[in-house]
Amino acid sequence: MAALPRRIIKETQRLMQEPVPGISAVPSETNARYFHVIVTGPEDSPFEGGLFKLELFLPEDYPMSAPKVRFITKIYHPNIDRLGRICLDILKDKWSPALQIRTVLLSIQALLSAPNPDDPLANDVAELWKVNESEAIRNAKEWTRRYAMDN
Amino acid sequence: MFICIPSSTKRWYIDCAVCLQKCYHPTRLPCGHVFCFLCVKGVAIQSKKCAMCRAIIPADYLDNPVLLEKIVPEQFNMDEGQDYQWYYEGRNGWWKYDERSNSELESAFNGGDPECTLLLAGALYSIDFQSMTQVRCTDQTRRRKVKRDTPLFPAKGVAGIKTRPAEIKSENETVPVISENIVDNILVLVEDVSEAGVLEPIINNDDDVIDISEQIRTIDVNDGES
Repeated sequence: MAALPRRIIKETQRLMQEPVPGISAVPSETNARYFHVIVTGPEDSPFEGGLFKLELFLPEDYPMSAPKVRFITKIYHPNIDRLGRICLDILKDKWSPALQIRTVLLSIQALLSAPNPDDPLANDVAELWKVNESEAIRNAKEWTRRYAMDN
Repeated sequence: MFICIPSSTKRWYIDCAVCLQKCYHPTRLPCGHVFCFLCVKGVAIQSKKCAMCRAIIPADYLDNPVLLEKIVPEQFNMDEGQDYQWYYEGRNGWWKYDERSNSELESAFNGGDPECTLLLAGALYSIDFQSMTQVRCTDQTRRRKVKRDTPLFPAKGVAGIKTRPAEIKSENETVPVISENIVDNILVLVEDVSEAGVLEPIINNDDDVIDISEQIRTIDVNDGES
């Protein structure tokens, strides 16, 4: 396997030595560019108490291009679709090489606290979130209980 | 042009936000943010925005980058045991790899690895020690020769930063095309301009984006000489 750039080694070491509260990111044993991620649902959000699995992959030209991140755990959120794809500007056109794995995952955790139905990826979810927020939040809590709380 | 700056403003000794290592050949963008020269080169070519504040990097920035340190020949190969320097072939000559890449190449080579992967200016390159070639991982046509030689071998400069010795070598006369891409109105900020042994850095950023044109030029020169 090709050697890893120093930057990736350094980021990985820091993630292990100084983990971000509520976030764990562990590189795969077979591919050091592939991370198994777990994000805990933020307090006072419909996702509280849930453990959400994600996958994160660092492309070859990282950090010049953004990591590829996807939810594996099903989640009811207007900016995350049923395939787990995330609508977040810093993963697209607002990416900067000064951002890191940890800042990306913190942004995703913040997105759970602050859903943005005006920039939707899951249209049906976003629609309900706008029309009937309390029902949308009930659904989100139910999905969290059903999909993100089993072991 | 020289501007003296007090040592208290040496903020670039913090790590570069792009490579997360000590700023190497610290280079300041118009917005004031400082990165390694090679990291600036990477973002100037790819996103064209400052990695910290997203300010647009002028299209001609790499023609006149603001280097915050002098290019001193002695700063290379100062490590004890660093008896060898790695070079990559450029137009009419060889470039030294920067110190950091050089030590990575040395440790991979001495460790018996068949190849070494380096992140240079935002792109991943693989250096094969058997064929002694460097190939861009995402574009196999971007290929150039490399070599391991004494640090004293006359080079064009370091990692695309041209260092011009005080005495102009006569070899320049036989390779007139070399002057084509030299930009000499570079702004250099140094603290002590009186120090001897300083080489004036001249940026030649075209050198990394030449492939076929380089071969053609090389052939032309060779034909002219023979």
